[in-house]
Amino acid sequence: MNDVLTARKTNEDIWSENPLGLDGSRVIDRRIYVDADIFAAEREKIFARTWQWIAHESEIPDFGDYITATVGGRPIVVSRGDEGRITAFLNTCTHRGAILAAHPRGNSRGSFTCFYHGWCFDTEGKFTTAPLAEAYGENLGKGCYDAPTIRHDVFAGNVFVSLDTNVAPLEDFLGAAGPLIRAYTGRHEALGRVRWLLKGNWKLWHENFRDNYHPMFTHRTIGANYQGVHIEGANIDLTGGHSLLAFPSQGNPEPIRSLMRNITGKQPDPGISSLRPRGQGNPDLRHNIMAVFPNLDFQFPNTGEGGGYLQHVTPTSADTAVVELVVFGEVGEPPEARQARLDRFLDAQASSGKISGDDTEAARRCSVGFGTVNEVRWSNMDRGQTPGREGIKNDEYSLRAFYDAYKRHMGDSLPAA
Amino acid sequence: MPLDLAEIIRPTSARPQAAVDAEAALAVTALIYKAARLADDRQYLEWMDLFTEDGEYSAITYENLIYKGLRLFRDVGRNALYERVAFLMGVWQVPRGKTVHLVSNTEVLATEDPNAVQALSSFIMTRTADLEHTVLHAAGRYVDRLERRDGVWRFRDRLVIVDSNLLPPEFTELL
Repeated sequence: MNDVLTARKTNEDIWSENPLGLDGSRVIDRRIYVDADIFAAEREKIFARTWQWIAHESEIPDFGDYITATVGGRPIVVSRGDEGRITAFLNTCTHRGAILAAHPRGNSRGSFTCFYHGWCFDTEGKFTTAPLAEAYGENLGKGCYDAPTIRHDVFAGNVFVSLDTNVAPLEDFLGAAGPLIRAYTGRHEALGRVRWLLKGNWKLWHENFRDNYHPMFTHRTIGANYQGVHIEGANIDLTGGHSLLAFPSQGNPEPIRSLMRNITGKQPDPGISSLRPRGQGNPDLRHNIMAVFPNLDFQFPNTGEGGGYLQHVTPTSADTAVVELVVFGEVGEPPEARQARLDRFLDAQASSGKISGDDTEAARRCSVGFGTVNEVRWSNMDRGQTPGREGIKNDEYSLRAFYDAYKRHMGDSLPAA
Repeated sequence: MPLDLAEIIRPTSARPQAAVDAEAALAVTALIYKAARLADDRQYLEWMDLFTEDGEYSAITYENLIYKGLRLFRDVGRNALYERVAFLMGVWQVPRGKTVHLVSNTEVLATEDPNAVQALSSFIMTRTADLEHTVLHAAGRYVDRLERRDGVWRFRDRLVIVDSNLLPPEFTELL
């Protein structure tokens, strides 16, 4: 286990000196959302030292298939080669630096050929040939020109990489999140990706998935749906920085009908999708929203039945990020179910979605509000007073789980209060 | 129905040799322009009435069109269109921007049915948010199927193909 992960005792919490009268584990220093030095430290201490989700195996099924990504600011390639082997390597030509794979997804046909001077690399990033090599004499053989490989592992079809050669094994890192991921994606295939810009710090997006206090206010249909309903569900710290929100389908379509009638001045038809009765069907079914430290989220039914999606957020600066969402369906699901998923699954998601559109706006508004960081330094993260790691749905055990791990990784890079 | 890329890019159900009568072409082109203006003027209920009762409106990124057909959304029928309109009129808390849809290169293609045509158009769309300068918001293609019922042309099906595979943050405007 990394040194930086040695526990800092609660009473030594770097945020314990705050004007809100709260334990340091229950507040957030807003400088972490805006400070360029903290952002630079996050890249090295978090993104370069944790496991990062890159792809699902089903996205690179054939020899030569590849996917590119950025991890801790480094361009990387995940590539499938001989005998189905997957390799991850840095996406740079060792000659002069140009990226070897220029597209988000593609097929190398077995060789990554740098477009600049034609140097060639195989599916594992190994240097193979350079054009007109005689001009180098014997010198090309004196050094290694392979694109450096990086550590990778595959869990339930998900390809993760880490820039840290000493990182804990992936399954240990995932901990209690592992069995859930296996249920979510173990018998599934990826159906496509959609990505969008976030006008805000990357943590705002990840926090949003751990926060089930906001939906009834940010999302008007959810607020209406819950009117007069005793909201059930749990907010659970899974340890290791991971967390789970689990809750049943509940709600009442009538207030949604009133909301739409008031807004449009027209009577909605009972058949519209937001008015479908909730709480029907399998009583054991739960919506799961699981967050994996530091930047990965899954939304699936607890059984994994049917399908779901994951999202990961990649920071591009202290106050901008790219969110990418990957939709999954069960392998072999009936064609009608597959088509319905392809047609309507994203209806609520992405910056075009009926739910995530407002979540994206929430990040923007917080980001603007952080212009007051010198005057208003602290955010409250205190919901849920029951000791332990589990509370009700709209408590904040999940958020505190993230920041506990965050502070341990960041260590001395966080400024004192 | 699964998306048929070849059909979308080069419609074979259209009769290549058949001419669309000038009156129909003019009416259909005017309808496409009217949809753009109503979207820009935030007359969403009126925009909805440009569709047949069973009409559908959907969008997809070009990246997903050529991959497995994962759409951003697919609203089928009047109820689904009503729901989208309600979101545009205030269920969404994302502020509406001022938009301009520029639609051009419209090609109206005849089909076997004299009361149905296909139309392909290019569009670009700008968005102006409060206290921000105007930005290019989206560009792509409309793939429309239009039908004449009781002498009136309406959209039976509009598919919006969005060229970018990186969406802007406030992507809830009518495309």
